[in-house]
Amino acid sequence: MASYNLNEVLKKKKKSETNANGEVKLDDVSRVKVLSPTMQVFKRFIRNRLAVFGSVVIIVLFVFCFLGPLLYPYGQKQTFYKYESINVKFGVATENTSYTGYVVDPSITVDVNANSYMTTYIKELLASGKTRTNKLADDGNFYQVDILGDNVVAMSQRGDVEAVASFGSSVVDVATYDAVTRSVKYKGEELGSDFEKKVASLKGNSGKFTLDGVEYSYRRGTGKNYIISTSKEGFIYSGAPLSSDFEDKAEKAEPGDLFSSDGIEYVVVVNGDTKTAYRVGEARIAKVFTSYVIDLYDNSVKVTDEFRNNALLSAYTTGKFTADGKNYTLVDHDDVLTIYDESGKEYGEFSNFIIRRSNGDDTIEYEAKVHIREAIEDMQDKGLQTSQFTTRLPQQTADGQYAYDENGTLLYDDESEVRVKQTDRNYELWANQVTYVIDRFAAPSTTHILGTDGDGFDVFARVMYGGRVSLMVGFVVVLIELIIGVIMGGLAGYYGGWVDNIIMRAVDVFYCLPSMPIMIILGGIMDAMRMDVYRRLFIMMIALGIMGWAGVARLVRGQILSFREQEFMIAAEATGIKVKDRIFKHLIPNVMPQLIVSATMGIGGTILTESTLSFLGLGVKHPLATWGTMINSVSSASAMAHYAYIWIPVGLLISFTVIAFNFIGDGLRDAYDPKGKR
Amino acid sequence: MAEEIKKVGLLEGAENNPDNLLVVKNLKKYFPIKSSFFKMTVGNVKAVDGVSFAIKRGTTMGLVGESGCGKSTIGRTILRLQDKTEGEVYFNGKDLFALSKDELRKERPNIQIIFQDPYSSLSPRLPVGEIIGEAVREHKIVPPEEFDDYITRVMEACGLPEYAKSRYPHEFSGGQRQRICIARALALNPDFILCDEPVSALDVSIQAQIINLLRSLQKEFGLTYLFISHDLSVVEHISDTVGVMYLGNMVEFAPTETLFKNPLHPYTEALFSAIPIPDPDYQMHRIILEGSIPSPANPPKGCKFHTRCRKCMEICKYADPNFKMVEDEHFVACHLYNTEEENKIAQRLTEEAKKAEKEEAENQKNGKKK
Repeated sequence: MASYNLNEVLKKKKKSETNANGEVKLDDVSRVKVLSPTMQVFKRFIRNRLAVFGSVVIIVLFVFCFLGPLLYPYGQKQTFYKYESINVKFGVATENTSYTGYVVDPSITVDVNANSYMTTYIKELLASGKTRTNKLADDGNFYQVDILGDNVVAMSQRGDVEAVASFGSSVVDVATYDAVTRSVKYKGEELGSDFEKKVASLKGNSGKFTLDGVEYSYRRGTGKNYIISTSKEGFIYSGAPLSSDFEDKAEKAEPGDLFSSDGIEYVVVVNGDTKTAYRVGEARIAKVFTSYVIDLYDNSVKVTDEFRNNALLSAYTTGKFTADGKNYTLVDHDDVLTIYDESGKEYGEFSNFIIRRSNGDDTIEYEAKVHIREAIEDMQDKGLQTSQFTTRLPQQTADGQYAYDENGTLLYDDESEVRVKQTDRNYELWANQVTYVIDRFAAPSTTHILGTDGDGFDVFARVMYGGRVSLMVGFVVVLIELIIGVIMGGLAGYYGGWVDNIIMRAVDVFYCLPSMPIMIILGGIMDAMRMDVYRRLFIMMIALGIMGWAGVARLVRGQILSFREQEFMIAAEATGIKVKDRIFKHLIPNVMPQLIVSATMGIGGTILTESTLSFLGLGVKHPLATWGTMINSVSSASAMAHYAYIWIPVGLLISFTVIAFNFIGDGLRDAYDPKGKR
Repeated sequence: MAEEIKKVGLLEGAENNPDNLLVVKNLKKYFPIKSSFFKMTVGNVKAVDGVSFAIKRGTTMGLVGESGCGKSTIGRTILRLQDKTEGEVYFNGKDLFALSKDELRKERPNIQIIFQDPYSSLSPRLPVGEIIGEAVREHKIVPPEEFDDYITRVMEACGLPEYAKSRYPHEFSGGQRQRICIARALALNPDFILCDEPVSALDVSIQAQIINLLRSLQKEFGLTYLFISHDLSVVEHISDTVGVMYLGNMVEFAPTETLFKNPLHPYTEALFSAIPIPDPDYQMHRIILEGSIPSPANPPKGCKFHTRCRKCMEICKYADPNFKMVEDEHFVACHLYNTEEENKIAQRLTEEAKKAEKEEAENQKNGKKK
């Protein structure tokens, strides 16, 4: 310590002086205080009106973005819906022409082929104009196909089949010639020596020869056997011959026809020139085939097999049937079978139209179905492509389900026009429906101050949430850049030498790094890792900061290099100021003007970079909002023209932010630069 | 041999004398010359080449010499603002170069400096109060509650108005800035202030103010100054002792009165003959020095001044003169004041050097012939 105490000496001196004049006192309020440089800068800063304005704007923006969402009722990811009458494809009607079989008697095993040939049999039958036919199936049973009426066909099985006779021109084996033993065996009557001679001279595998006006044919059997046959007219019985009544009827019968003789039923089957008569057993109904589709009045009731089968079988007979212990009546209207229940109310009907909701549900109401079918039939009659009628349809929700009120009852639209449009064999049903839809691009209103965007999100809420991200990214990234850049640049500039060399080479490396590809790769990695959105944001900010510090470091270093050799730095060293203070209190303030300009520019730039990255799907992901993505969502020309209420507020906010930051930057620069004129 | 005398010579044990606040012994400062690419040292600029002196407490030592003779380098090396090449500096008996960085930082307030250029020596972005007070706060010179008043007092003592505290340096004139510099130095309660040409950048009226301020402060607080200047009249006015430097060496050192009355060294004579005398009738006898100052990177052999000395002798060209006391408290480095013994040594050194020179010349000739 010094050999004297300056403070004491000066105090004494001052005392004597002030005592003499009695002028200024040391504790006088008007005395000028030593302000710290920070306070001095602050004092100068708040004198700058634009800078104060900028600060107020930024503070307001921060409050708006960070506190606003707490007070605003909507979230950024909240989708809004509305009821809107839109023309939707309500359902599809298809005319059904293919027959479907329903099992009536499950105890009867139906031949698989016969079953699958049914459609063909039905078509054949319809073409021939007959109503009944019998078909011999591979299982040896006959299947009787009966057309009961329009679109209803019964399939019955007839067992106990036995071939009784073949007639027409039938080939009969007469003899067998054994070439080894040279002997002839006759099946029936013997044909004499001429025949035997002829037979002995047979050659080849097959052939024909004529003897006594009778044509014989031969074919080689197993070994050296020849089987000689001839064709014969007339009935050949496998058993005992039957009456002439049988023969008459058999001759008259067409293939598949059933006839009875002497109380026994027979069926004739034609095979080439030969007809065979089979005796058949009783017919038992196995299945019923129909191209009708049943629609019940109450479409919540499931149709049982019993109900359907009984209804169909009785359709063209009594018109009365019993199913599940209840009696029903069935009336054949044109093309439609209407079912009435015991009380005579309409219960359901069979028709050729399959009418379904467009999502495939069979939930269209009976009344509507009737309307639709009538309209289609009308169209078919008149040969029209489209048709219209009016009916009430239930309301749908956004996902195509019916809308119910709180009591669970179906909500109906007002009576509205349904348009039927034919496409191929389908009839599309278009109707104006009050539908619960996402409220897209709603114009500003009291509920949505800035309207909604293309996803039905509230724009005002997204502006606030997006501002959080954008402001935070801009701020934090620039802050990281500044911290790293100032420290590195400060060290490089102050120490010089190898420290400078290493840091500046690192700066060169960071300058060379292509930031966009790195960000894209980083984004890809984070995608692959399925990273949390906020962690992504955090990593993105750090990455952007690390990419950007090099410029700041270079700036700081350049300035510091020129300032550190100045005498005031030597003076600072001579007064024993610490190295840290020398850098940060003497050197850095001299770099401040340039730093502040680059930082304020950087905040604007970073907000835009962030929006670019978000646009590329690397930054903040949809549905999280940022200002950049919000503008990008309406960036097409037509969207810009129509949805100005989305991008104008956001664009204004970005501009305000950048301008406000620039004002603050200008103010800070002026405040830091004592020589600048205010 | 001559070197040895110089080294030990005059100031042996001077650091132990409590009267001496600052003792500088054989201080050398060379700046290496680096080759451009490989950074090899190819030579040295001998800015300070063996300087010794001592300053007594409460006195002012002037240091004069023409531009580039190493005055400021001595100053900065003493303050350890740059490293020495050789020699010792004792402050209050402590070897400054033996201190650790932290110890040095704590010692700093006691040794202060006022710079030549008041424009570049004040941080442009700090208000004056902070410039003066920063180090005061750092070294806790006064308790925090008295800080503001203390700065005011120091500023008033240096003739600065109180409102200057919140102003920035660029708002002040050169003289006021220099006062700020002085206030900054003074505020740390220093024992010793190095004034590195503090008035050379100022006009004469302000020079006088500053000089008088320094003197009054010295009187009041018993400060010790090392006053570097090339303005002899200022040095004469303020100094108690004066050292004259030429090309990195001190050539003469004496109490001011003695030196100005009776300069011994031919260089000092030439220097003093240039002091203008404010009398139009006075006929000046200026001693004109021929040529310019040689490069300190390649100083002449022997006496460094011999190239320009009008009293140059043969020995001056080869033998380096000793720095020795010729009269009471009057030191000089010149062969003119040699004792018999010294002359003999010088003579012998000359012969040897000549011989070597000749041989070398012959070698070169032979080399050429071959």
